[in-house]
Amino acid sequence: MSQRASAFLQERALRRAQPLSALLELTYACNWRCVFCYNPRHHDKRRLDGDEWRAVIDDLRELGTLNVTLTGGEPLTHPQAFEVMAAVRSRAMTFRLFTNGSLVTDDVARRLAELRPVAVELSLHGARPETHDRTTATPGSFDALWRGVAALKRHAVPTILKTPLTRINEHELDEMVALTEREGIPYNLDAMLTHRDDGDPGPLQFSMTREGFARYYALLARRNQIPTSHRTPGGVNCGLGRTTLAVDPEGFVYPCPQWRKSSLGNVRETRLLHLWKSSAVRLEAAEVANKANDALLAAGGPMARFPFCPAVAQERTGDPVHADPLHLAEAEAAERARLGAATGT
Amino acid sequence: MRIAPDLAWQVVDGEGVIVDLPRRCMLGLSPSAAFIWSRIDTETEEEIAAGLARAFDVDESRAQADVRGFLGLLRERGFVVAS
Repeated sequence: MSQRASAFLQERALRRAQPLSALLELTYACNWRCVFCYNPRHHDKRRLDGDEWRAVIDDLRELGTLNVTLTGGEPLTHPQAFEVMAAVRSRAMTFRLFTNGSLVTDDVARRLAELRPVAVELSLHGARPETHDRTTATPGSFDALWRGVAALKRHAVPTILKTPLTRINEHELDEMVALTEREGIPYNLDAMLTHRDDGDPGPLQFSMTREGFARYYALLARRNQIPTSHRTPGGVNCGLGRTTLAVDPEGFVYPCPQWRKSSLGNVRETRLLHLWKSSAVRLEAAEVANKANDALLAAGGPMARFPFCPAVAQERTGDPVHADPLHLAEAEAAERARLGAATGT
Repeated sequence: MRIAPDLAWQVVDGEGVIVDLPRRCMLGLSPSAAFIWSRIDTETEEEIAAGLARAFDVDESRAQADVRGFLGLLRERGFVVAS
């Protein structure tokens, strides 16, 4: 997609508080048990059914959403997953599917191809089966992932691999890059693990080591891909409460995929349309995005130009406006790598 | 005529964007183009032109020419198809 058109769209959406992107978590159910998973459980108490998701999708259309991401749990375990995807497409929105790949048979890949997703994204947790399977706590999951990828390739479905980096797989970073290059599949890396959605910090014990972060940012520096935020006085840190929203499997709505401190309400009680337009929680969250921008600029240092997630900071320290030690450590590692690449050291 | 099913699009506050999924690119729509686009599925060419003339305060013959020209471009690109 054109970067300029995307930036223009994002800027207009920020001004209008138009939720351009929505994350729909179809289910907590999953057939894998990734050790750092942010979901609070692996079963649903009372998940939304196909009709309820269709009502959500109708309201998203009316609110101005263009891009929908479907995730879980493992979204393909939802019995009406394809109906939900078809509803998104029939309302002329794009969708992206996050799946572990284990349920992607040839038939599933063919049906996905017909719906034209922007991308199907799957996680690669290691270059070697033992590393991947240890991370997912599911024997055979590495092979299952690659069977799914192969089926998607056969049906020409746009596919992206991505790795949440952890201290379990950080030593295989270069091998994973080489593997995905060999397979010719676009590849993204993510260094940030988060608390579980219920606030449990358990996943953070798997965060990369200091050496892992250094290796990761050195790789990004070599590729000129170190993330940067261009903050301006009076601007906003991110789309929190303005351009993004999330709906969990049981219908609770949040002002961005990460922000779980407070919900706008539940779509079973109030239409999404009204929740978005009238919720004080959304307005408070949007205000956090303003305050974080100004606080980071005032503090200066590497965080002034490094991406910051208020929701993650909120989970870590209870303060969504100022950088927490982990954000700072990442920003410093990125800065060192940037300088190292510039000076050839 | 109708909008091709392999596109995504959105029009908000008179501004629009089309995502061409097969070609993997995005196109912006000017306010008058967004006006025409958002009526393709529900109105005839003549109705769209009459509405455009009223909404943008232009004479009807110019509106008809604009709508015809824009729809022709959209057909060429495969963005609208016969219903």
